Amino acid sequence: MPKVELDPRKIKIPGNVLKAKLGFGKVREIPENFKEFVMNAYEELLKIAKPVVAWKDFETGESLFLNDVELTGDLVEKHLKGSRIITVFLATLGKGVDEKIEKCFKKGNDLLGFFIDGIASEMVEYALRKVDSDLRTERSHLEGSFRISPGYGDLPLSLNKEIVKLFKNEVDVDVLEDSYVLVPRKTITALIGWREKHEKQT
Amino acid sequence: MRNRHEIAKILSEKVLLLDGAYGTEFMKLGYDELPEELNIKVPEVVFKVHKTYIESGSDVVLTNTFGATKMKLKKHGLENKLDLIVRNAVRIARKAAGEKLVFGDIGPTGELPHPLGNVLFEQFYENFKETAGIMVEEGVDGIILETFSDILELKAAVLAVRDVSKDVFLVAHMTFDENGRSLTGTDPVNFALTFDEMEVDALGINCSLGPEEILPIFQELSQYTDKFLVVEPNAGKPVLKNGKTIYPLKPEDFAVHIDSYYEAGVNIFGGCCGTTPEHIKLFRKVLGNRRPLQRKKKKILAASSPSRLVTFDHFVVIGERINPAGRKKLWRKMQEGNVEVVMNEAKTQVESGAEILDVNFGIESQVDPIYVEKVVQSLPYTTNAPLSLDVQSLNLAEKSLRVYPGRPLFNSSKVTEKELEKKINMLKKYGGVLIVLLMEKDIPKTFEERRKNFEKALKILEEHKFLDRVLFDPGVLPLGADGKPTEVLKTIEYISKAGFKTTVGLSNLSFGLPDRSFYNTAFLVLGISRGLSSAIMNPLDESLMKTLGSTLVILEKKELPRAEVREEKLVEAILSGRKDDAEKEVENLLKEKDPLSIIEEHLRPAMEKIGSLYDKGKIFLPQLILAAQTVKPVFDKLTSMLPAENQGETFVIATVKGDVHDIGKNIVASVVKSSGYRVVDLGKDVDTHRIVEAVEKEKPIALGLSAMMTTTVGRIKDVVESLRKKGLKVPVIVGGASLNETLAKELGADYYAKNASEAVKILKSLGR
Repeated sequence: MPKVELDPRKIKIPGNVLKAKLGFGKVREIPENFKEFVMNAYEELLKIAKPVVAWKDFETGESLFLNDVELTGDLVEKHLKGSRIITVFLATLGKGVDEKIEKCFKKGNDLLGFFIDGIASEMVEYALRKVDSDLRTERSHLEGSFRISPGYGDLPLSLNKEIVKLFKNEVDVDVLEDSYVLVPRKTITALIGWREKHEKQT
Repeated sequence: MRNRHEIAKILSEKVLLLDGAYGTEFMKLGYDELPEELNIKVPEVVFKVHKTYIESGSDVVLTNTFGATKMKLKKHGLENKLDLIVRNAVRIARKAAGEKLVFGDIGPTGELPHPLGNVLFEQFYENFKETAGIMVEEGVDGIILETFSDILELKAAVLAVRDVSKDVFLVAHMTFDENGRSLTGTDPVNFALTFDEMEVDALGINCSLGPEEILPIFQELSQYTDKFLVVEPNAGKPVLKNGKTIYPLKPEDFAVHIDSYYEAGVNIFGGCCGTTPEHIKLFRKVLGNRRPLQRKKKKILAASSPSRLVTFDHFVVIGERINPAGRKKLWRKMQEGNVEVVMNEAKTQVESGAEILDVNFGIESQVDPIYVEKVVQSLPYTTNAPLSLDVQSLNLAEKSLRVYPGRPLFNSSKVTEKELEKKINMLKKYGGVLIVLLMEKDIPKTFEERRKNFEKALKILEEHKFLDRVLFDPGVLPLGADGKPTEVLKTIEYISKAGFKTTVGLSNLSFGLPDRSFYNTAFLVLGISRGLSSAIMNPLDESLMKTLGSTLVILEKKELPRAEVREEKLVEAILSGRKDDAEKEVENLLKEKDPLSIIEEHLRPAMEKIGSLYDKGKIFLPQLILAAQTVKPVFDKLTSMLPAENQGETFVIATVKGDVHDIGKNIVASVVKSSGYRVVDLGKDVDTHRIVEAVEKEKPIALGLSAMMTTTVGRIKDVVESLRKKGLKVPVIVGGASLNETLAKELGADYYAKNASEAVKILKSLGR
């Protein structure tokens, strides 16, 4: 099962994404007096984040199965139907990030905790994007679908339980019973379908 | 050549890839002369670059004609070679592209329109028509208008291309700076609205910025158009190195943004300055064969000048004073072709509060059409205000709409099928919002007649898919001539209830009466109370304007203006995160006051003020958090000096069982604490029975529950039911990403707080 450990310094998060995530609304740039706070939070995060992305391919037939669970619903119909392969992803930054954020709030460093939390949310997203993008490059003979995740539209969050099971020997991630929330918090799951490419003559 | 419908079909199935830069590629091959000249000097070099892009995976190549217009070539003494340069360019591109698409590339002239420069609309138009004509003759599949930084020049190019061919696929691009404005001030929403309704197939952005900087501008554009979307960022912001301009973004750093553009709905992706075949190769791989995503356009009713968009989501004053009726001096100046007098009139009205200016040229046959053109082209640039064109003759109306820089109001059309159809077609070609006057031959006197005309107009407008672009004018008749304003008011109410915007020519009411201002003012107030959304009126009438302001405040359509409150030292220190300064300020206060008074009279009001700044969007969430973090130790110090019974009311907060996302809860706890409450934070993933126990023990003023996930919001209900079972009547405030007011009530909560500041407000209403 492929798994990559990424260097957090090499995960590029666009500045405008970060700006919005950190609550700076529609301003064009992070205000000067907050830049140092943000840089500090970034540096702190780089010390503790251990981004890992693991993925697994499933060959599909008429129906779409992930182990024994059939993938159904409008979102699956729209994005995964007709796929030959489905790739399931799990990306995480590890437990250290949760612990650091908690510590910040306990010590009264609220802003540092808030910024680390925001940057980490994007870091895990962009770690997955990086692998997604690399896979699309490797598989340029196939047509990759839009990336979807449990919790989007009618794709149930309960799917997280199945996905965590798939990767339990590879990645240290748990899922909470009943609520299907992933722990550590900076963890995401996703699916991409791959169709045969039908080049259109343009 | 494929026509626009065939290309639209391709685009509905696949996101296409354009090519990269040409100038920098020619330079690499040792050619640093004018790129367009290479089409006739060394066509094989141009062919080679096209071919490299096709081999790298481009679906579309652009002809090497960015500067191939007569106005631009003239600067290089090459204007006589225009035909040869453009013809060769298309032929070379076609030969290299094979079955791939070829788009004729046309850039701006480098000149500014009058009054910023010297060029009038028709000069731009002719310039672009000539180049586009050759391209279409040679069989391009589309034409792309790139790097335009002025809305009027782009409009001239769009109309020129469309007049050359109804079938050619047409892309219109603008270039924006980091503040999201074009050189002459247009923002992406204005760009979208102005061109969305014209016969353009795709809108887009290119050049000037890199992919990261263009993204938010592109995302904004994508929300206001349902045309196809194209983007070509530069390979980063250029840097000067050893006297050379370098574009620093490597292919892999550029390609990381493709997903974001895809998610924003891009249909054609490419690169501008500094992008190379290596970039395109990687783009091809990342982009793959994706199908485009569907978008839904946000609809707004607005008029625009190059640098200003005026929406009708608030009451709009349309200045009436550029109208020579009853003003002999103005009329004489207009006949003399004096533009300055109109400019001054416009400026005064804008300074007095007019957002749009109605322009009427009186007896049009006695005014030079060139004068009309100059006024219509110049006013929106000099005053920034959009115009309402009150032009009667169809020829002059068309001419005015044609040379207007932006999206004007057009005043007006009667409700006859023939006239409405004519005016709708004109506006579909040139852009604009139509004022529909609810009359056929004469202005009706009764509500019923007006209602009948309104229903008739709706039917015609719907047939022509034009309902989103109208204001209705019920037609005001002079009171002195038995005008029956109550019938007009009834009509305004009827139209407003039907969900449409209205306007009136206000001064018609008092025509021939003494004390006109009083009648106008009274009618305006009554009109607004019935839903009137704009009026063509006199902004220089001070009492009218002041009454308008206070009416809007009373009807809660405008905020009460407040005098600037002096920032207190304490607020400043807290907001800037200067803990030492805040402590020092409190130390000083302690010399005169007791701790409780300092909390009540200084710290709490300071935090309330900060909360209110946050609510109004004047400070951001990080500033609120920093303020809370800064003030907390100061509060702690002061409360420790108080006897237990005065240490503030208790607030218990927890994130429910199953949820470990507690950042929101932490922020709420922090802000509530900094507002002087004693906060008992139970943490995250907390069992219902523990929460209930805490409420029993602490007897808080309220309980705050946070639940972020759809799977955990149900726990709120468990907690509320358990509390009720035990007879604990504590108010429950809830918040979290998956919650809203309605859901909160369904779950049994008493309050929903969308953020920390709202939670504090609720607590305040419950206690002190």
